[in-house]
Amino acid sequence: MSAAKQKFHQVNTGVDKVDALGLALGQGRFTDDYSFPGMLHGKLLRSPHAHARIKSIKTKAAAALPGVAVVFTHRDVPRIAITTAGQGFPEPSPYDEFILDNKVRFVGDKVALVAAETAEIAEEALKLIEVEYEVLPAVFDPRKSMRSSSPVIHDEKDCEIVIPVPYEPEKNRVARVDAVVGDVKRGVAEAEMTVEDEFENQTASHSAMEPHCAISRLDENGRLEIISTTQVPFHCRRIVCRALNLAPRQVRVIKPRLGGGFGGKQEVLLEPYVSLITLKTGRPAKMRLTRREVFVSARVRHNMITKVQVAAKKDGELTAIDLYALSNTGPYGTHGLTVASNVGTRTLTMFRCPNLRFSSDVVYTNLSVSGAYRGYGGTQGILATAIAMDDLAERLGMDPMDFYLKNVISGGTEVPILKELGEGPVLGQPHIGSCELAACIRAGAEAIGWKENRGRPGGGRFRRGMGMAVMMQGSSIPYIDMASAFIKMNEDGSFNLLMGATEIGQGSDTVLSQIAAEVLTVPTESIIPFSSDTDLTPFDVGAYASSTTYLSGMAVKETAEKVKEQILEVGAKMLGVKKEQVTLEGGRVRGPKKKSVTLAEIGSRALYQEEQFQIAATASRISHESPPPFAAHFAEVEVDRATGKVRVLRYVQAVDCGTPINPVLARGQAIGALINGLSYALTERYIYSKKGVMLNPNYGYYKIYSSRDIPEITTIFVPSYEETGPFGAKSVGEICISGPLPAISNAIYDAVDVRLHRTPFTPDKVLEAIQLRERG
Amino acid sequence: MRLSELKKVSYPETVAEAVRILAEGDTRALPLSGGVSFVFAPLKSVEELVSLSRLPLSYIKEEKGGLRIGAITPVADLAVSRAAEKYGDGVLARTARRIGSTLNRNLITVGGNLVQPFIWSDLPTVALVLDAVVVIQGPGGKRTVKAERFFARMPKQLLKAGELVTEVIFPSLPKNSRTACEQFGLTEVDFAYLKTAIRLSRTGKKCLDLAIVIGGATILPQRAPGAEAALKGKTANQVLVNEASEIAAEEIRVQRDIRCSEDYKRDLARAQVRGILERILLDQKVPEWKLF
Amino acid sequence: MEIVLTINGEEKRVDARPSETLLDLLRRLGYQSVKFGCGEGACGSCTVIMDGRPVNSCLVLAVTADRRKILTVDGLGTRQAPHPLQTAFVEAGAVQCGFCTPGMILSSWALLEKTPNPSEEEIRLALDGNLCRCTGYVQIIEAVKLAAGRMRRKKKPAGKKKKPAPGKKKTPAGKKGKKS
Repeated sequence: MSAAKQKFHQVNTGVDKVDALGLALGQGRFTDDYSFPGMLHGKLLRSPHAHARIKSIKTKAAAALPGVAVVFTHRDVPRIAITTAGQGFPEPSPYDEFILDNKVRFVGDKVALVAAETAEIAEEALKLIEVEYEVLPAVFDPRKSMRSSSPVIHDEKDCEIVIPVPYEPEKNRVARVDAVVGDVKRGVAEAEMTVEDEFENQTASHSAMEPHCAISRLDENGRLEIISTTQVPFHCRRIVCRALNLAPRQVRVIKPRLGGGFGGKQEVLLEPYVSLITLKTGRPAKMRLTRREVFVSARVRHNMITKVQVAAKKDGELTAIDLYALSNTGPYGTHGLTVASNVGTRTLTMFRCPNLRFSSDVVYTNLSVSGAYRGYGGTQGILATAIAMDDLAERLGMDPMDFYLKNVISGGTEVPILKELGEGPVLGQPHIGSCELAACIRAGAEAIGWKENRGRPGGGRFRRGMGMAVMMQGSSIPYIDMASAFIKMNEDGSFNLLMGATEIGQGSDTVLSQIAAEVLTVPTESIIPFSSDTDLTPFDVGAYASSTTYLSGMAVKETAEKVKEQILEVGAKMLGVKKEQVTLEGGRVRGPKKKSVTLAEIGSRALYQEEQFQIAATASRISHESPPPFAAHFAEVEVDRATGKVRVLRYVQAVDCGTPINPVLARGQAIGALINGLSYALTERYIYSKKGVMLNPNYGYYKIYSSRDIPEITTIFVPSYEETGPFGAKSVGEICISGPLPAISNAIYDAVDVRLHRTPFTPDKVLEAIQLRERG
Repeated sequence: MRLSELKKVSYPETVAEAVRILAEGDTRALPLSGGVSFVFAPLKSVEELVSLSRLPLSYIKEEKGGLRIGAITPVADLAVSRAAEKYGDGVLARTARRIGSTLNRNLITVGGNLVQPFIWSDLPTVALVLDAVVVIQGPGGKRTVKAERFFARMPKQLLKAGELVTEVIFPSLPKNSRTACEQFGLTEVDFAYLKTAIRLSRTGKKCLDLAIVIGGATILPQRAPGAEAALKGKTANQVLVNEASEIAAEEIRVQRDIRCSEDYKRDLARAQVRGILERILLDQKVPEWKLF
Repeated sequence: MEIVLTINGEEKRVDARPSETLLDLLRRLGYQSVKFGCGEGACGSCTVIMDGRPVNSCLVLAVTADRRKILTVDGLGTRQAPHPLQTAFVEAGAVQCGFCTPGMILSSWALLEKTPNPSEEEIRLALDGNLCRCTGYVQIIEAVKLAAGRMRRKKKPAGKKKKPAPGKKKTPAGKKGKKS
């Protein structure tokens, strides 16, 4: 049943984002907007070397600078191995990082911490710290990481991984993934056409407009309170406690307005440091990264080299897909294993193909630290499969659109490879619920005029081309992640909705309020959401894995349903009838003979008048599957053969996300992810020196799109309904970022007959490929 | 710490007063026009800042078929000026529209962009191709310097103590002259990788005289004399235009840029010189939006 | 160094530190709506209107800002009487995380002051110094068009349509479940 057939009154409606007016008025308060009396400012000294031991470190002069309160080195902090990656516990990440260490592993790694009266004084104090380094050889090419001749980046004895998976730091290997279904060798032998190729995607910065920031202070009862730009308040609390030998009961983490995350704030980057300062001095402490530090010392997207072989029969039926990813996780493991696993799950599960193999090596290098980034492996994998399949289709003389229609799954398909690859344990035979990928392909093709326009590059200096790609993501991590909510009723018929689910700009406060409002038959304005305070809101893993609408939404829905039952009970009493005789409709409990009571009357009675009790409930959910959203993307480009510049003229994306709980916000997610994907495909890159220094840590030289760069965009949501999701919803937060890399590569091929496999497709690369082709 | 020695900020309201303060202050006083370059170049040891923002030097005047532009005119004004649009086929306005973003253009001044060029600065290239004249006022009075000399070295080296650029004069152009410019960046708002400005005078397709200026390859704009010689006095056709663009690509000096190879900058020079000549000498039509 | 600033119509004598930018100063004075995003004049999170022009406040040395008139988004509208741009941004889905929003609204305001009926090109140009990583700009551009239309109709004499009140659920530019 699709959303259009069900009659919703709050869901599937573009209600105003609940915090939007406050933000438009300039009243939204982000972490850096808070200050406390006596607050100190922290700054980290950053390593100039890619790989070095700290032989000695002299801080006396820095500590003596007027205005400096305290200086920390590795000698002054507990040596406890942690991961900064915000994921479920026990984490699938190695504990390979120390808040301050006697070793540095990338240019920009932390060396020492200074707290001073102002950020400027702290900066000055950094210059007075004397460090003697023993510079070590470094490795920057992930292809070389595992060679015995490469330096071992984690030679310390106390790094470890706490889940039973292979972890081989002595080989610079963080993880190895292997998953097989069927027999790839036989599949290739059965094929009548194969394509084998290698691809590479570059490192990139999330570049949320708000830099990372954290504040800590002791409250009036001596508890540590942290305000932070965190996507994962509960994971943050746990990890800070581990790092500083504290117990969760001693710590409170609060997330206020947050200025964009995209995975970059799914790390515990600053909170341990401000906490150190506060615990030592008793004073509040703040740290905010400069934009340079965000580029250099925060987190980035995993650069990967992927190899794929796709094989098919003459009629286009896929017989085998073999995918390998070499993932560069930088010097700390963080999300290495899980991102790599997703390279397989977000590609191989889309196709009806009996023989599949996915394998991956995740390796350390001394470049930037990789972490979670929207798309999370899917982006990297789809780059490879969508170009390889485009190539394969061409060699078979098939339109890629027809190739995909022949091979993509439909709803209800079983996907055995998920059992091997899913991030969590998979019980039973995993299968896909809703899938409207075929409808996405058809709708997108029609909207862009695919059949009429491709294959017509024209002549002269400027050539046009069209390309397409299909993609999927997931919705939550089954059996691993949990969400919960609490709802209580007020005497005016309004409800407080308390949830751990983390609003990072994507609209979760709004969407989850809509879900509650739908169940309680009230306008969304009657729901007062409050989120992401580890003292006041019940647990939620946080904003990642595209889980908020799907998983947190189910928790909210169930909580609201429990509250509804209590309302019906009270209402029935007030009407003098049995509970079975009443319903909740339009904000009233309605009984026989057209009698009804309002929610305000019910709320008031329950709180003040008779048989008083607080109408309230809590519920938790884990998910049992991760129903993928699907999308088909179509790009039209114009290539300038004299400069290599690629202009995207038109872009169509057709998306299946189940029921869009809020179509306006869902559209915003789809377009926002797309634009990020476009600049990722064409303009964003990290330029490193031979010594591993990132040379362009600013917007002058790291280019993201402005309003002047965006093409003409069409976004289509195809009707779909996911039975396991709240009111039919899946997710939409990540998926669309994965389209542009392959769609544009395929479009460039259509325009100028060159296939680009390494991103970004900057003009000089495109020109070089064109010139190479011309020379024969 | 920035400006740790700062003692005073003054806001002179006449040029004479500004000159006096700067002459007295010498190297301890720094004049600020748009005042934004501190983001790229540090300002540590200055004792006095002299803000030029209250001088009556923000104007764009049409005079004798040319333009007089005050030194503290924000480039945003140049970007929308009808007078600038009419002059020199609008290259000044078009170039101004490419300087940074809308917000930057409200701060960056014409004078500032000319006096303190960075490798990506945009106005020096068109000022050179249009034979602009820079007006300087100082303790010794008023003098003028032609663009060719102004940009032969870093312009600040030309300014004596107390001297101030007050105005830029763009001379009137002969009826048969055409001017055009192009620049290349990765995104619409970007520091240009390379820019080219060409001015020529022609009858039919015969090129009587031309100036080809390339910016963004070196800090200061440079001419392409070999390419110019290939076309001057000749009747142009595609072959000649291609040759000239090839010569330009080969003859320019190129400084290292972390963003692309030297070869690519030469490819850009070739493409831009050719593209502009095709439009203003061979009258080929290319839609505006395709050009950078 | 003491300077005089007029901020949102209020004249203030403030002590500007030599090393600080106008951005630092404004935030120090409590104008938290003006944000730090990059410190290099590229992202526009720090946009203010200075003497009628939208500028990056991180590119202005505070000590050189004497006698300037500053407008922040706080001076454009209130909760009781939001500016049509603020309402339009809310309705069109132009606000996601909201960090770029004050700057976007100020740049849009400056555009509409000069160009009450801007084309799509003019809107894109006016906003080219305000970076947003959340929305992809489309809904922001739609919001500016929406506000421009309403502001033009408001200026016309009686006979206009009733404007929908803010906060009502609406899908103005993107229809639910359909192509948009």
